[in-house]
Amino acid sequence: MKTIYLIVKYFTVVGTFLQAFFEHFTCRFYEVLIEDARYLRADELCGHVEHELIRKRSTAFGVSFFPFLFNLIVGLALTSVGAVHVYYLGEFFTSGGVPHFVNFLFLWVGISVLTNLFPQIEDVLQLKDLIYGKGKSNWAVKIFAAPIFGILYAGAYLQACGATLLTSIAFSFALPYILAAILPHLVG
Amino acid sequence: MDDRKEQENGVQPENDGVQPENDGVQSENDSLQSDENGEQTLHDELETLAKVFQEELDRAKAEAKDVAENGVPDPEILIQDLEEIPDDAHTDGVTEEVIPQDELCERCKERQRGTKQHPDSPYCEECDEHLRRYPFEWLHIVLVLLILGFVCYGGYVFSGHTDAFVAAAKADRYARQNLPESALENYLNAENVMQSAGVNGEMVYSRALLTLYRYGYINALDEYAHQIRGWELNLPHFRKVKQALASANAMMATANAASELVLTYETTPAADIPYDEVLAKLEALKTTQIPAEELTEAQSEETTGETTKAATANAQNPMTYDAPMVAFYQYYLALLCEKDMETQIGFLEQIQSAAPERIWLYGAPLGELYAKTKRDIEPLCTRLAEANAQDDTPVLLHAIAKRIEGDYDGAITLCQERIDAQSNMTYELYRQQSLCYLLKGDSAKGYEAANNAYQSTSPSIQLCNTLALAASAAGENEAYDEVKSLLEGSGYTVSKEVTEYRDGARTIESILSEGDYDLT
Repeated sequence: MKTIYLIVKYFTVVGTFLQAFFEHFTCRFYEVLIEDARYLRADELCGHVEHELIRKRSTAFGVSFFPFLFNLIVGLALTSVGAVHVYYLGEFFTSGGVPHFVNFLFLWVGISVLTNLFPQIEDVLQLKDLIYGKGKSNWAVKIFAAPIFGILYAGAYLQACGATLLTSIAFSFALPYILAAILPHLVG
Repeated sequence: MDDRKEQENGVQPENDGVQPENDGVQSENDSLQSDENGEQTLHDELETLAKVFQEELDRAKAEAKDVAENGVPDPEILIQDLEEIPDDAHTDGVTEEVIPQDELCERCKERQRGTKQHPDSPYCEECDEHLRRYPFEWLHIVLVLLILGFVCYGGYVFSGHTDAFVAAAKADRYARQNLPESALENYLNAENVMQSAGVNGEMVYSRALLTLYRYGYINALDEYAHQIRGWELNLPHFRKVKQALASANAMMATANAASELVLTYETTPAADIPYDEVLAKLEALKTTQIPAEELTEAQSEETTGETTKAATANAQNPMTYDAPMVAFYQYYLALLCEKDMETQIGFLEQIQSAAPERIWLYGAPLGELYAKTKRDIEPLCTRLAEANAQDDTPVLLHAIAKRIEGDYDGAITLCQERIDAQSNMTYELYRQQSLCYLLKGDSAKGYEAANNAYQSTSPSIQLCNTLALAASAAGENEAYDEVKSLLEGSGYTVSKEVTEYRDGARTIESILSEGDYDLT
C-alpha cells in the first residue's frame, strides 16, 4: 500500500508539493510546531509536514481544511482548463498540427493537485477526537462540521491508499459537463 | 557537541574531580593579579602556573591512558584537552548545572527542553519558537509562485475560449434534448467561434458529426469529418465517429446503386414498371459487397486530406450494401408501382426492425400508411417525437388520422395550432387543412388553405394537384390553369383524380375517402 501511495504521490508530484506547501503555510499561520518540513519524503508523510499533535479544535480543523481548500481551488481551476480543452473541445493539436502539450499539462497538473487534497489520517483522527470526542463539542458544531469532516475523513483514507488519483481522473471527466450545464446560463 | 560525546561516554563524572584544582589555580591567579611588583614577576608567576598546570594535565592524561589500558576507572580524573574547554566555561567561579541527556532539547541538544507554555515540549524555548515559524525555502516559494502563475495563465486561456465552449455546450444540450435544428445551428456557431479562436475542437466536430448522422444528414458528414485526422479515427474516443462514417458511406453507396435501379422509373406509368425484376435486383444488393472504388467514391466526394485516406482505408474492408436502405428503395418502388399499402408497410417495417434508430428514414411514410390503414399511430408518433422534438411529423400524422376518421374540425384545429406556432411543415399542414375543408364542402376555404400552402414553399407535385383540385372545386379557373401550366412546364401533368373530378367522373369524397385517401 505504501508503494502505491508513493507512486501516486510522485506521479502527482505537483499536487504533492503544493499540498505540503499549503499545509506548511497553514501550520505557520496557526503557529503549529513543525518538526519536519521535507515535502517529498519517501514515506507516508510524503506531501505532508510533520507537526506536533494539535490539541485545539479550531487549529486542527484549519490545518486539515485550509490546505484542502487551497488545493481544491487550484485543482479545479487547472483541471477545468485542461479537461474542457482536452475532453470537451478535443483540442489535441495546435493549429499547426503539433500536439497541444499545454492543454495536457493543464490536465495533468490539475489532476495531480486534485489527487492531493486531503489531510493525513492522523490529523483527521485527531480532528475527529476534538469534534466528536465525548464532551468535546456541542451538537451544533458536530452537525455543522459533519459534511466537511465526512469529506476530509473519507478523502484521507482514499488518499492514503492512492485511490484519489482514480477519483480525480473520474472527476476530471465529469467536470466539463458540469461546467457545460452551468456556464451557458452564466454567460448568456 | 564534543562535550556531549564525552558526557555520553561516561567521562562526565570526572569533571567534578578536577573542579577544585581549577579553583586553586584561579586563587593563585588572583593573588598574582593583585601583586604590583612588575611585569617580570607576573610573567614568572604565569610561567610557573602554566608549568604546574601542564604537569597536572600530563599526569591526568597518563592516568587516563593507564585506565584505558588496564580497564580500571578512576572517577577523579578528567580527560580533556585545553582546547576542548569552552571559553565561557566556569567563568567567575560559577558552576553551570549539568543537564541530563534525556532533558536536552531534541533539536539543539544544548538547552533544557520544555517551554513556559508547553512544559512537556521536547524543544527548548528558542527551538520551539523557531519551529512554530518553520521557514519556507526560497525554492519552494518560487515553485508555488510558478504554479500560481500557471493557474492565472489557465484562467486567461479559458476566458479566451469561453465563447467556443459555451457554443459547443449549447449545441450539445440541444442535441441531448432532441432538438436537431437548434443543435446543428449551434454546432455551426461553435465551429465558427472555434476557428476564429484558433481552436481545433475535434471532439466538438465529432459530436456535431454524430448529431448529423443521427438525424439522417448523411450527405453533410464530410463537413466535420475532414476536421478529424484519419489515423485518429482508429482511436477509442473516435470509435463511434468511425462507425458512423462507415455506415453513412455504406448508405450513400447503397442509395447510389439503388437509385440507378429505381429512379429511372419515376416518370414511368406504374403498369409499365418491371416491379418483380427491379425488386429482385434490389434484393440481391443486400448480399452484395460494395465495390471498393464505389465506396471510396461515395466517401470522398467532398473530402480532402487525411479523412480521404481514412475513408479509403475503410473502403478496403469488405462491406455489403446497406439492407435498410435497400428496403427503403423497395418501398419506394412499391409506391411507384402503386402496390397496396400492406406491401409498402412491409418494406418500411423491415427497416424499422433492422435499424430502429433510423426513424428519420421510415417514420413519416410508415406513420402515414398506418394512419391510412387505420392502425394505431400513437406508439410511432411517440417515438418520432422522442427522436426529434422539433419535427411536426407526429402532428401531421394525427391530422391525417383525424381526417381519415372524419374528424375534419379536429384535424383543422390541430393543423392551425402548429401553423400559428410557425412550424417548419406549414405547407403540409395547410394542405391537410385544405383537404379537410374540401371534404367538409367548404371549397373557398379549401382553396385558400391550398393557396397558402402553395405560397409558403416551392410546391411539390402533390401540392400542385391539391391546389388544382381546390381551385376546380372553388371555381378558380385562373389558378387551376396556372398550376396546370406549371406542372406541364416541368414535364408532369395534372393528376388523373383531378381531371376525373373536373370531368364529373369522381367526387371529392371518392378521391379523399377511399383508396389512398389523398392525391398523388
